[in-house]
Amino acid sequence: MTLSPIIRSVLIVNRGEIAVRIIRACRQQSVYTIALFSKQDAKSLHVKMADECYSLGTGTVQETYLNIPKIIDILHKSDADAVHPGYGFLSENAEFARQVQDAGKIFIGPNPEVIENLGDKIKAKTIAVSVGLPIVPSSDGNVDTFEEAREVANRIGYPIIIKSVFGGGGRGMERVNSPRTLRDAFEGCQSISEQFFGRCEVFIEKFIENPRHIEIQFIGDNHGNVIHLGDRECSIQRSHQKVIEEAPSFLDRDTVEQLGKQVCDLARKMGYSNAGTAEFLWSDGKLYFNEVNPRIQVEHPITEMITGIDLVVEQLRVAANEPLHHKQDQIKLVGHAIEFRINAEDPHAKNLPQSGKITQVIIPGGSNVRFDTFIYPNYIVPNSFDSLIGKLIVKGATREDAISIAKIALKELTISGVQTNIELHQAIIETRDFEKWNTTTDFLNKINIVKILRNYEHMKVAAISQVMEMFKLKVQPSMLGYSQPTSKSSWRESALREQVR
Amino acid sequence: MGNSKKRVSYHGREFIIEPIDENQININGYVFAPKVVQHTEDRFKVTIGKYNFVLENIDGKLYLEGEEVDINIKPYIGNIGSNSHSFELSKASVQAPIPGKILQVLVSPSELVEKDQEILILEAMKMRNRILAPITGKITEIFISVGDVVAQDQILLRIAKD
Repeated sequence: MTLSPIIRSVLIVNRGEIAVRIIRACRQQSVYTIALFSKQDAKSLHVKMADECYSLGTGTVQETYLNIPKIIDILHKSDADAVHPGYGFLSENAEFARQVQDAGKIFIGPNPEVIENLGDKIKAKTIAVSVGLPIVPSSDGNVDTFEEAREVANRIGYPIIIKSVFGGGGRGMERVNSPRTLRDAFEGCQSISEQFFGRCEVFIEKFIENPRHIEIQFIGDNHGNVIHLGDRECSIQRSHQKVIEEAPSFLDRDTVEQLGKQVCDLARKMGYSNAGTAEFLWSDGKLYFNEVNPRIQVEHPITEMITGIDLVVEQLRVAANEPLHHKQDQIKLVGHAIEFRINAEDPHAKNLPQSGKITQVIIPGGSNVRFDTFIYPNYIVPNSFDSLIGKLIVKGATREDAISIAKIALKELTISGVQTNIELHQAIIETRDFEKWNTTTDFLNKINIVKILRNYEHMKVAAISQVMEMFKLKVQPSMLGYSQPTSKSSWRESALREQVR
Repeated sequence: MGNSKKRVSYHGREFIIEPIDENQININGYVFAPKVVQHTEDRFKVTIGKYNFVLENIDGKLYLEGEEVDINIKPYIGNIGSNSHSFELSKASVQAPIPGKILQVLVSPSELVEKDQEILILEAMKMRNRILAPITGKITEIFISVGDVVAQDQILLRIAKD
């Protein structure tokens, strides 16, 4: 297949598994791929795979993958026709999108004005209300003073959440349970917003206790067509980071149809083109619109599995001005898909990110099993980025089937050299609450995952010690270096990682 | 009695193990009954309840379920009459993990805190970082107050077990 000649080459402004994923979609459309990388990523798979690559030099994320002038410079040098931002980094940066367009290139994503409007959460909510989407009770716009905050909090009732208008990714948010801590939280959130997002505006919302996280995938073209590709549930989270995602969600199909229609109305009204996701919170039978993510998401493969549509290829097509290849009534959701985010982290030690040399990777296979990754044996997982090293995606005819395929695949999946959260996933899908689909955002606390994992680790130590004692096994000291105590620097890495998302 | 106890370091964490009899083993106070149900010279299948573990010994390296194992077993040398080797820490100093500014102090001297309770908010790298109590105990000393700029590794407060 070939894409319209408007896009013959794409500059991929990202790293990791998503950069690899984008390269694959480009290849499929015979599009030339251009990668960029920071020094720590010189041996990363996306660099090896791309047709051409440019160094971003060395330095922090701000100095490399977030360095707009440097990237625009590479864009000119490489003469790419388009830019794919992936997720995270600059994917939701309207200024970057604008500079790409000003350079006469195509930004694979919505227009900068649309990104800006969605980044302003109050504006986004106003538009959502106008197409009939329900929203969480909240302040009427920004809240500038403590007195105002107190009034709003009393009106909507505690617990409340104070959010930075320009925040995102779980940052710049403060939950407040009682009037006692309101002042500290309010002022704290303002100061963080100012420093982190450059704008101090905050607003207040009712805090929805332990909701389920639901989202609708949609895609629009440059000709006013928008379709939705069904729903996903991403309730299982750990400090606002999704851990497991499923498609479709537990919602009944009529509700999803209705929601999908409203989301398409919202997108049309905004002049949205390219792929996007509308997020909702579900609690006690009620749905509340949360936000729209104007980019491809980490969990897009589960939608691909149940719709049979390659979302990244579709992104390229609509960016190349082609009309959507599918009509709404051609979209059928078949089966059930689950994604497990495989992170290089130690689930026992507060999920501290791990780095190290991959000594072995065994990737599961079989029908309906997919593993998107960028790691390979001898690759050194750097410590400066997000801890996501792969995504295991499985599909079954039913949710039950998907779970049993997942159990087999997770058992097969083996990564040595860095500690991973594979065991965390195994523990989760063994629980009755997961099996019964009792999933809410407090799931991991509710099932007491820490205790489950500790018990599991005790069993492993018991099994190994028993064999070593019984058979008098002599083993060499391991070269893995897991034994070194987790240092303070990992803590810094974790902080850095939070900044990236 | 005490010399059957061993100190095991597994993936960076320490465990005290003690075989009870031929079938049972005590790990950190929890008793398990691992059964070696099948084995060759270098491959062992162990069950504990409904869980199966396959352990392989390849060229002097151990692999559990295919994943390389980092384990080190040493004799346990107890230090009777001293707390210094007890498993749980009795005292802890909370240090700044990163340079920054103290935004909030959520505890006061002699307050009782639970392990993992939020005790301080440190603003660093443009973020509010929550600092949690490393142990359950009583706040004995607080060396900083709101607005203080702290250096990495600076001791912020101390907690002691009652």
